[in-house]
Amino acid sequence: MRFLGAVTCSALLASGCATKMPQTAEEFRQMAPGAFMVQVQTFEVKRSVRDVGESFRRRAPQCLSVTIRTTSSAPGSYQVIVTRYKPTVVAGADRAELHLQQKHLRGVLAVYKEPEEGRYLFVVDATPAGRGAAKVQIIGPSRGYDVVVRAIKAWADGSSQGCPDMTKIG
Amino acid sequence: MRRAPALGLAALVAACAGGSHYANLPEKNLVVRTGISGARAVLGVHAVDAQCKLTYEGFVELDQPVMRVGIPERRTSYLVFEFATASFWGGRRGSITRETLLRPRPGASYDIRVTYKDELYDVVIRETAARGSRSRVLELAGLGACWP
Repeated sequence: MRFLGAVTCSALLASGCATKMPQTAEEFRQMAPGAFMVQVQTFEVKRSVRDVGESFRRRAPQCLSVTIRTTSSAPGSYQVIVTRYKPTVVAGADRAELHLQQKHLRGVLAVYKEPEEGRYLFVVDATPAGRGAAKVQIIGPSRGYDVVVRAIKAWADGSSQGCPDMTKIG
Repeated sequence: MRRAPALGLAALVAACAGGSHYANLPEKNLVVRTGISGARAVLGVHAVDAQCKLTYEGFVELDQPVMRVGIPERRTSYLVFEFATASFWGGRRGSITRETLLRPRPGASYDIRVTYKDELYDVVIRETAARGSRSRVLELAGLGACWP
């Protein structure tokens, strides 16, 4: 089921993007909104863009730079999926970005050409929204990655520094 | 209802660890405070030598809200905090870890907050150098920090 889910998700995103997988964060921003199973969430936080970016810079490498091995077993089947995640943070005074790429190393085959570090899973942008506030936009999967979204929201609003349990996604 | 798979997983973790509980030192310099919901937490302790080679020393199951652990001073240890979860029927399970190098300073105490809640986890280590002195939060340092 996880295999099918991962392949279907990639395929639908790619098909929604005219059968081309976004190769950069900017392409993802342009192509992903409107694609099937992609969600765009926007909210404001009472923290400066600099502080949001600092949270991303501190937490993303520690929490999201992981390789996860998950197993699923059911009568008659046993599956192992190994997935590597790579975060990238670009933080400045007026803008903070968090990109998360996902690359399956085992158990899921890529259908379309992916960027070298894996397909873009999330692109998060924080921009100024008045004094001491920031607007945060999260573009990512609409299902299966709730724990990542919760963590990113918590880092953005400063309510938690916890890492998402990446074995819970997908 | 969630205890059954968790207990099974804990048994598996213990079995995989070779049943090797960590031989605690009498001087307890770590105070591990846990806030765990929906997972089992285990602390693995490794000794680190001058060549950054690890020697496994055992594990401590973090099954109490507050646990005291003694590790050697003036020697680097590698602490591995593992959070293990399982679906109700055990068909899907996973584990995720946070690791850090720690070289306890003589006389210092270390307050370690280990949390897993709503699928978010964290390990925060606060060092207090001497009784009554100010404490500071330590950055977790992976094994890569062992090499200069």
